[in-house]
Amino acid sequence: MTSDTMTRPSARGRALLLPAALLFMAMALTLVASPAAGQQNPAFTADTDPRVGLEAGWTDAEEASWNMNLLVNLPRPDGFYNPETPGDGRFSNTDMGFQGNLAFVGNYHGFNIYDISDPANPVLRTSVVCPGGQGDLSVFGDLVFMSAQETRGRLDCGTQGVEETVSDERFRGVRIFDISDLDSPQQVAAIQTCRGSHTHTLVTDPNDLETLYVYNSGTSGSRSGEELEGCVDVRDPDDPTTAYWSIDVIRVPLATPEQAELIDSPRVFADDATGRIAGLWQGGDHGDGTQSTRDTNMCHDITAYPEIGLAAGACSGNGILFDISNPAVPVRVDEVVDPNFAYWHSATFNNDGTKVIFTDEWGGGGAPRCLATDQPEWGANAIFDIVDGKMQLASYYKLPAPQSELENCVAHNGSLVPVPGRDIKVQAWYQGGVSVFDFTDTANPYEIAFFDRGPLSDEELHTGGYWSTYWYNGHVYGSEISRGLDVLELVPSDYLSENELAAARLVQFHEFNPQHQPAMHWPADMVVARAYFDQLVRNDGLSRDRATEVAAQMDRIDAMPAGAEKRAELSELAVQLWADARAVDQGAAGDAERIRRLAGGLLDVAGAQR
Amino acid sequence: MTNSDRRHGVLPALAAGLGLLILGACASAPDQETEVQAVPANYHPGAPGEEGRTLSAEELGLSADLPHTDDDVRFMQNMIHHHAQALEMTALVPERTRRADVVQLSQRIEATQVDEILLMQRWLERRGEEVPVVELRYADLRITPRGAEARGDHHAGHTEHAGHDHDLHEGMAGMLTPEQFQQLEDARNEEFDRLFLEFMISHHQGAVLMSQELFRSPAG
Amino acid sequence: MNPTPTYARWSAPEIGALVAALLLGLFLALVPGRAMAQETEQWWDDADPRIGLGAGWMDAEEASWNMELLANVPRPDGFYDPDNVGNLNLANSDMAFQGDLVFVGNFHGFLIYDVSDPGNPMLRTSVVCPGGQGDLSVYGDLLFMSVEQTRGRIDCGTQGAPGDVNPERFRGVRIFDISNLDAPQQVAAVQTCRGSHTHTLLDDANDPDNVYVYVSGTAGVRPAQELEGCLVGEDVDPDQSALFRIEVIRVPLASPERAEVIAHPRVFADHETGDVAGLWPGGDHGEGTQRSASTNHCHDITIYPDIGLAAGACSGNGILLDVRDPANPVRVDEVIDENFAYWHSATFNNDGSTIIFTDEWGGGTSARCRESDRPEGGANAFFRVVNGQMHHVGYYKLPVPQTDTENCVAHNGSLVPVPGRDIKVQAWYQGGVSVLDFTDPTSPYEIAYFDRGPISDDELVVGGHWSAYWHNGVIYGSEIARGLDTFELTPSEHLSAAELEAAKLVHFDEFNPQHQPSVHWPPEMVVARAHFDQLMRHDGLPQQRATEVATEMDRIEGMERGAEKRSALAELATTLWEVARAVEIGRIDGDSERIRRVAGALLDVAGSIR
Repeated sequence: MTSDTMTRPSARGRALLLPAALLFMAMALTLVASPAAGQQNPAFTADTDPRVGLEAGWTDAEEASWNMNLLVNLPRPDGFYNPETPGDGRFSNTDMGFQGNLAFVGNYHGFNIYDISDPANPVLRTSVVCPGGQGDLSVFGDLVFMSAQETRGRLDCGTQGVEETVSDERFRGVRIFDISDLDSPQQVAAIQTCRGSHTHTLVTDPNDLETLYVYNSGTSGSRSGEELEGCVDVRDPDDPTTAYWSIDVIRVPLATPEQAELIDSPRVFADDATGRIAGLWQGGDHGDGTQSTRDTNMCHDITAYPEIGLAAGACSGNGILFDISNPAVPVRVDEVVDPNFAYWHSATFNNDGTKVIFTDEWGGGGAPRCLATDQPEWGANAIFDIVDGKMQLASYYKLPAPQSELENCVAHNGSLVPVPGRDIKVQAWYQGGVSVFDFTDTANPYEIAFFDRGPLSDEELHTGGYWSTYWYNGHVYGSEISRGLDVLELVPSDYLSENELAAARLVQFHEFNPQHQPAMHWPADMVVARAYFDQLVRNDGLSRDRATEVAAQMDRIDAMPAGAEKRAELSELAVQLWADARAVDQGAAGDAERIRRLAGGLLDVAGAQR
Repeated sequence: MTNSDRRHGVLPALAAGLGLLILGACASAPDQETEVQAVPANYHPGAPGEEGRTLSAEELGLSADLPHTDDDVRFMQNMIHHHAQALEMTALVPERTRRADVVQLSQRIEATQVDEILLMQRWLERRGEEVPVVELRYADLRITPRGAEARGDHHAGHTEHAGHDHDLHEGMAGMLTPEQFQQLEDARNEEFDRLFLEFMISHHQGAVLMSQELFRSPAG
Repeated sequence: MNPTPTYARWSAPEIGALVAALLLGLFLALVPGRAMAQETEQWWDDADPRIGLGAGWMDAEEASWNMELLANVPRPDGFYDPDNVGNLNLANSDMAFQGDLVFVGNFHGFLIYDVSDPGNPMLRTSVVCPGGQGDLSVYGDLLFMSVEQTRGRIDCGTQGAPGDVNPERFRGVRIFDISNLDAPQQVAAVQTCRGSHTHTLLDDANDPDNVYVYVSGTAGVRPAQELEGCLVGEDVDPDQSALFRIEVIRVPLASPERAEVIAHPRVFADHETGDVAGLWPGGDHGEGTQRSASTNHCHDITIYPDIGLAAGACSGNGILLDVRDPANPVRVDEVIDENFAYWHSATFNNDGSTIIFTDEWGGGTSARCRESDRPEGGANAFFRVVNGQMHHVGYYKLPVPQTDTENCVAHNGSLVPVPGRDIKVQAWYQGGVSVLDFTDPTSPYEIAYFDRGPISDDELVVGGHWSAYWHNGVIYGSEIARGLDTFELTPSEHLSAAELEAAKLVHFDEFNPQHQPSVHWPPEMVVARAHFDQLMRHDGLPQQRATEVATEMDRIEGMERGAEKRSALAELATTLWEVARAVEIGRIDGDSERIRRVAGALLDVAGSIR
């Protein structure tokens, strides 16, 4: 199907007599033809977007922001940058993990721990030197996990590198540190792998709290069997011993992490019928005018969502769904290809596990791939609905503002912003900055906030910009490759209300590793119901008069002391709203689904009253 | 699953519905003469704008059947012969191939061809047209509108031998010539498989041609 | 661009149809491979009582499970041929419903039954007007009837209409005024090029003065000498061809005699090139697949006006049409299926998120439920509708083999309105009636059936159930050769008494299955009990809790209507909401969605009490 299906005159505004979900579905038909990236910022076009044409500078670039503020920037500490140039890849900041009041920021040179008790004033707590790249981090209890992939990586964290082709001192794989003493993290284990560790993912087993699993994604060339037994550096899928076409599963006994070991390298890309280990995308394009996609012999990154028993693997040539109900044995349950994707890079589920976003790192992250001339479906996010366990493409989302040729830019890492009733993601786009977008309607994602700086230099392209931007306990943290740690806050706007933001801030995690995605639950709080109310009103889901009545009722009840009477009043208001929704089901104007969501929010609060 | 078997005749249910006298008529043999006085208005409308009228019991009769043409009949008769030859070809398979998939394919062809021969024979019989009875030598099968059975000695009616020694329908598209059939009969293993598939494909293509011709005929 | 010569589908005993069936057989015979491999797996239960039923016309042996035959009314005199009970010129066909009346179509006319007592249907009127198929729809005082055979006459005469060109011939849609049930008057007869195999009503809330009819003509195109503009053939401009389109009739309700064809939407056109033959060209889908008919017509269209969509079963494709502007249906999606021979009919689930398409492999006159027939051939295919796109998720076929003298394949059915579940009752010709649950369309299952033995052991005499529809608590079956059947479902482990009672609460004054109405349940306690039974069936609530809830529901049901009852219901709903929340957070095991459904139904009841 093509876009001209949508050019017919719009429907004559007839009232449709069905639940809002259906009305919504029918309306979506007029908005979406084939999945494509259309206008994705409701306020700006490429001509008016303030991100276009920002002045360059390493520490003093011009900035533009919309619906979010930069609270503070903390440059990389001494020893973690090269004063001569912002683009020295040996000191790039990378991925982040969070625990309590601490942010752990990876770096090719080691990692830095920040105290973020006061998010507007983060304080460097500890710098740990241990080169090897990428330095992606996860934190779990007293343990920090770190990816090392480069040949200069050393078992002893030394900075001198390794000269020899084959060396006992080389380390490529997953390091495990004990951080019970934050001042002196101790390396307790270092699990060598054939292709090193580009990224890794923690996977918990709901049925076994004593054991942690780590899925390791190695993307570099394999080392030889002489250096690490069992490694066969042969890119031949017919050789059953090849180090390619697998992922690694590491088991970590939490009581004795030093006994962590590689337990399997499953052939997760194998053809189900023939058993051929190179069973998925073979590499190459998808026909005329399509992108050339890398072959699937590795995953780049895997996002596990243990509470729904699924993981999404961004695996070079394919997007894959794994059943991880037994974490030791991931089982592929679905895979997709995409004619616009060059390299499947990372993944994020929505909170209820019905959608998954995959990113395409076209150009590898070092290239300017957000030019005005670049296709908006390339180097973008692809948004999929998960229908009966199968992924179905709904649309693409790409940073809506074109960037210059001096800015490396492509879809990169992000996380959910926990606004109840909506699916919102905050995402890093390297020098494209940070973009916050709503994908509640998978077919029509749109931007609701952004922050961007000009290029690092107006003379040459230095690789820089945001590696990751994550929402953590009320703030957005940005790991800027060459400018350090940024802390940002979202501000209320037409697209995000005060109540929605307050509700989002109620979600507090003790620990957060974005590739180990946690389910978000909102406490039974009136502000959550108010967030639903704001969404209802924003979508014209309740008549103005009725909305005013309901708002007054909510104010009145909110002011009541906790107790049985308040409980009864909340329940009664929910009953009334349920009847409103019923009337909508039977033909009245309104948004029955959002009315019921509001009623449910009130019932949650009622249930918390005794 | 606990399936409760509730087999019973239709009569009890019918008895429950005896308010309609006509039921009594149909519960046993419907060809018995029955009274129809209880049949409600049997109405025959007219063209748009015209009055209709109620039909009397005597006027209740059958309406015109769809007409069929000589082309239709000829097509049916020819197609029966055409199918018959396919059955003679499949009969050769078991002793001449070593491939399970060729055997499977031939069984599949066999099943559908017999079904369709029966369908066509019955179509002709209902319309009082001449029905070719199929006598198959290699397949050892006799197919009449009553069904298919192993061949006996007696021959009746206009019978059809569809093997290689019969040239009656050589002119039909896709039919194997006697020489081709002999070639197939003499072949073994890979050579047989190749010929069998080749001949079967051209045989079926011929049937498609015959059908297309029928569609192009005036009332086909 | 070459419109291929079309052929008629069977359903009329036209020779072209027979040939089509034969051809299909020929091609299928040539299909080896995967399809055949599946034949080796047994897909039925040998103990199924439907196996081996004794044959007979009016005295065949019967088997049923979880449903009972209430009554059978044989076709009246004049509507059967005692010497040839399979005479298709007298076959019963589709049904429509209004008040206490059932309208049963017949190739010879139609029959009106009074079903005030479903255990004792009374023939009210029989109307002689030959032409087949005689599919019916009823709308107020108007009855619509499909006519496709060349023997059809404008004056309803039984003498046929000989010759290639005959001014007295009628093929199209007849409209009767049935305000006098004893003497239905033909008020209009709208001629179409291919006649009317089926038709579908569509009303438009913004256009109360008209009703629309979508005509699906499947038979051969008549000569332009008989009806102007009926063109077909290789020398005809494809844009002028009578193939590759549907017809839209507008019927002014104040003057139905002015009904006319107002549009010939090219719903199969390629959106880019405009080629009218834009969809499936006919042929198989690769090795081991079914050969699908070419898409030059729809066989049947099911319109769901409340969601503004129609599902077209269009020979080689399933298509989704946006019908919010009735005269200009717009194709928004299309699917093919490698197991489908002929896309035949469609049914939406009540919330429009799932569509069932049927495959009439073999044309309806063939035995296609034999042990050797593939369970994916001649079956239902289920599609999820996501963002206006259909995604295949499963198949359902009558789960018991039939003999080779029983014509059998998926045919017409309708929803059974059990709240919280998607259930369909469906006719399978001589395969009988099968009731299936497709709430999870990836694993549909049978919950009730009724079947008779073959009409004859010796030869295939065409018969069986053309349609089986639920209407106001009763299942009606139109048996081609055996007349009108009425059935009731009986409670079982698969369908509780409360679920059945809740289904019986749904009442329609008028029901045309291809004009699908949305189902709403009244605010009754038994609806909550139906949801509760489903919760229990899915072990969705710990036993002790369940007992408490059941006791409380009993207590509340015994209360007088009034404020106290209202608040007791609200309180129970609040408590259940708390439980659902506890399940979501992981504190207890359960099925939070089904718990919330019970709570929602209680809120509905509360809201109805002042």
